[in-house]
Amino acid sequence: MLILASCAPAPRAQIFAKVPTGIETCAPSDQEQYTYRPARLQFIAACIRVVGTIVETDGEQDGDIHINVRLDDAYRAVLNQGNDFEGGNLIVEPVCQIPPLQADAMRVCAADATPLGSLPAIGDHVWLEGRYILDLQHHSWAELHPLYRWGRVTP
Amino acid sequence: MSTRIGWAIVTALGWIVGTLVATFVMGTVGRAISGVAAGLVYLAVYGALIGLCVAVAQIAAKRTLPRSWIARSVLGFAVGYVIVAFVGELLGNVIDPSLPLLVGEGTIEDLSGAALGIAIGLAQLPAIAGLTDRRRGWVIATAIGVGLGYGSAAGLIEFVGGPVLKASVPATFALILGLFVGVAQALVLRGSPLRSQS
Repeated sequence: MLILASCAPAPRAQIFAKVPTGIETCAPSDQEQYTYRPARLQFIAACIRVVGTIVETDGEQDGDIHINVRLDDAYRAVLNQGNDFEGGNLIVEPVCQIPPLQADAMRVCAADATPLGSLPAIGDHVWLEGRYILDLQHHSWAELHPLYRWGRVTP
Repeated sequence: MSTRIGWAIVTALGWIVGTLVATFVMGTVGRAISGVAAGLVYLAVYGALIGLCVAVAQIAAKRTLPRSWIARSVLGFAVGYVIVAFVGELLGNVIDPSLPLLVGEGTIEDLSGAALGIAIGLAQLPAIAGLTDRRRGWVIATAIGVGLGYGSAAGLIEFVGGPVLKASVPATFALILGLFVGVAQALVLRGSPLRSQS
């Protein structure tokens, strides 16, 4: 069980989670150090690998790209109730993709000389590896943040 | 068109163009200086590019401004964006992330923006003789304009969003921010026509 809490909204301090059984772990990249204000993201695992289809991408004012991923059934255990606010999708955020407009992200991203390069397009069926966290500012939904690497799934 | 409305419009236009230019330049060739001085040079150049475009737009509309207006604005924006980053980071580490987004993020963006406004206003002070006699008012208006503009832009994009506001996040952010700054500064301008040579 991903969320060890009742169905009623729990106080944020009581929300905790672990990597679901069967989810593969992986190695972080240097992008880990370019997440601004890390206290807003509750750490679960340094890196996990999931597979799904890109359904939406959106530029954010903090310089990140907000990617909604419809996970394949075998990976949906990484989601929680918060992800219902995003259509039941996993949120994946490669960081420092564009110069941030948000003040607290500026210096962190300005120092990132090697942000992740090309990103998947809507409709792509891909594997993704990133740090597994809960976003405490946004319904504590599950995310891969930052995204470390990705690739297309070959049939 | 009145001086005040004209000033608000050219300031917003300059901020939009500047932000788009800075975003493009720094997102491409600017990456080469990302590692210099922990990103501070990158931030200074990013701010300087926005300041250059805003100042050129303002001086094109208000010909009585001295040529030093451009250099002073570039300096103010460059220093200001470096300060913004530190203020934002400092507040971000102090403010509880579980606070409602509007309160927590709003405070960070408003106060960070105000710091940028103070830097811009102070840098421009020696060159504002053709604009206003209210020197302290100029700095305060710029600080309030940038502060409220920063917070409002961040809040509207985050909470309202939608395809129109998010069609170009940098342009939308700059439009809202530039209008707040332009209107705030316009309130302390003398009431002469924009292109007046007197």
